[in-house]
Amino acid sequence: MRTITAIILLIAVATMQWGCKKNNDNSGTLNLEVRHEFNGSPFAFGTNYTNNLGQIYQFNTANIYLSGFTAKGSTPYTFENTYLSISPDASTYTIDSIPAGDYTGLTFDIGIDSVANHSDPTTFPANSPLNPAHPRYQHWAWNTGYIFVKFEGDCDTSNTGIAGTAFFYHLGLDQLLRTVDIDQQFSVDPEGNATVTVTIDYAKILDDIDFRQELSTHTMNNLPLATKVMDETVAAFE
Amino acid sequence: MRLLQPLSKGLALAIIWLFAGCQSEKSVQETTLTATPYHWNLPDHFPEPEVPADNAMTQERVDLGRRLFYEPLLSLDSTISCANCHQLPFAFSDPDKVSAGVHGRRGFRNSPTLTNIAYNKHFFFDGGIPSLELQVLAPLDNEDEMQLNIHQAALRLREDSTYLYLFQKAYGRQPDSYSIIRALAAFERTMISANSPYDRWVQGDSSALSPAAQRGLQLFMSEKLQCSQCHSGFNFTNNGFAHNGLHSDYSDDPGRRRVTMKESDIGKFKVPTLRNVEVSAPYMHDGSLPTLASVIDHYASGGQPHPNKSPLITGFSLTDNEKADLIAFLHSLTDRSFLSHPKYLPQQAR
Ligand code: HEC
Ligand code: HEC
Repeated sequence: MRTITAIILLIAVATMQWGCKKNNDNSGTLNLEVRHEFNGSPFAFGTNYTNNLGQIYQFNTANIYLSGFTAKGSTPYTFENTYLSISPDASTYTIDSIPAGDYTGLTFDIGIDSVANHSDPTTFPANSPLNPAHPRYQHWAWNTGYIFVKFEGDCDTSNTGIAGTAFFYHLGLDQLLRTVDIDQQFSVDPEGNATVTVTIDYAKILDDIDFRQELSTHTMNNLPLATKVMDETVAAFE
Repeated sequence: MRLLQPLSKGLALAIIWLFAGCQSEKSVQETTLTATPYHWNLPDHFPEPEVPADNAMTQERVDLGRRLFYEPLLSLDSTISCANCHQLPFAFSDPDKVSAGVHGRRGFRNSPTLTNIAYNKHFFFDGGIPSLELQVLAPLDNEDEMQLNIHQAALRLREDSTYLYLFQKAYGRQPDSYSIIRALAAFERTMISANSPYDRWVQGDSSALSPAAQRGLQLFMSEKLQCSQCHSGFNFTNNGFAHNGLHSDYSDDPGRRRVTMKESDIGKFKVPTLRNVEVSAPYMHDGSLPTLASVIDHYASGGQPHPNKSPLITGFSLTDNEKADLIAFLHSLTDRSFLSHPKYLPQQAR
């Protein structure tokens, strides 16, 4: 008796499992590996760095939203609902499942596409970086739209050698969405994993920034400065 | 046979459990969702407010939103609720020039009335926010106001079984950012003021307005004063933005430029409703005008010079009697039944 029941149960479980699963037999998973570097060395928060103008600074926040992922190749594949929040605290991110095949690279946007950017944040799934429940959720509540890129830290504005003045660059707005294009061959096996690796060189981001004049912006109050930091952020992706 | 029964029961349960596992958790939780229709009870000269499809009005949602409106747990140090700055006797505004938030900190704008907020198209003096639901995210995040991430607020509410039950009934889910902002918006949409002496006069009660208020209404509508060009319609606002010549220097608060980045929007602010304006002093975005008399003096003077000033603000002269008439009219927009209605008061303690 028990054996029969056990067998029936087993069949039931197998059937249900199969029924639940999406039809993705021919897909694998694509991951993004991010190397956080500063001039070729590992990046660290709270470490004094010097930019090309000789000014000292350190980061304590560096969050970047990425969206609009497309795998390049003879049959390109676009990921519809992938939003990532990248921070130096983590290096491996799951993009999503992808049809098996050979690809030649990856393009993605720094920032959030205009549709999602003006959506109600509370309607995204609770585990999405766009939902207020996410620890790195960043949104301008007083002007609907996400803060695409948030750099915060301290800098030396008075030549004392001590990074004692807070700086912040909160960059957003549809017009500051920027595309990054990575050429990198990868193949996806059915049920397998593939990884695209990018490097962010944080040294590039605050080069040419004169902290005495360009200490902070929340984009709307200083679009030229926001555009400058955003363009340097794009250049930091390799 | 005896052995088979419990076994097959177990099997049935296992199968049900498996099916349940396939579905979203939501349908299981939705069993207690209750939707008692909400009745607007509006007079003919008031349209029914537009309500977003995903937040239909129900009595459960309104009741929950009212509880949240008076809930200090929504602020970092559990001392400030929405009602601290939006107080019913002042038509949900604040007699302080600039309201105090957590740790007694002050922001940079006067708390506006929430009278008839259901009819607004944009929110905040600069109009940066497109819906009443999304507006709720602003005071919670603002470090001068409640300073608590809405997700942290939701986690606090989940520790309270009464809230778990009320959220389940109203939205079929536990407290989260989605349900918190919708419940508060549902309650705010009920803040409709349509029973002032002016409204009774519109509905045919010719004794509702004093002769002075009727003369004031004529002045308000006149080409000489132009008030009704901006403060127009049943809610005394065109829902637009205008520069009314308040200052010549807006470096402290650029107004609508803050969200549009256009130089031509410096000094433009939301045109507010004038309903219950008698009790919502002080006036203007920065609370810089203390009385209705000072507001009228401002408009009569033609305001300060500024390239963006509306061409409608040119100045005029009024006799003392005419000024008193205009104030009598503005007072006739006060709805006493609104300012003390029990449906807006905090619920009895649990
Ligand atoms: C510390 C005081 C304070 C608290 C607490 C507060 N508000 Fe406000 N509220 C304000 C101020 C000031 C403004 C105007 C802000 C602006 O225009 O920039 C405002 C604006 C609003 C508006 C927009 C009004 C309009 O005409 O555009 C709404 C709606 C509102 N608050 C609702 C709420 C709700 C709901 C809560 C509780 C979650 C809340 N407020 C908590 C001070 C406060
Ligand atoms: C060009 C459009 C325009 C005209 C004309 C106009 N107003 Fe205003 N009114 C505004 C704007 C915009 C504000 C809000 C300004 C601010 O917040 O700084 C305002 C604010 C007010 C307020 C303060 C309301 C509050 O809650 O703070 C009163 C009262 C008022 N107006 C009455 C009048 C009267 C009376 C007239 C005619 C003499 C008039 N207005 C003409 C645009 C206008």
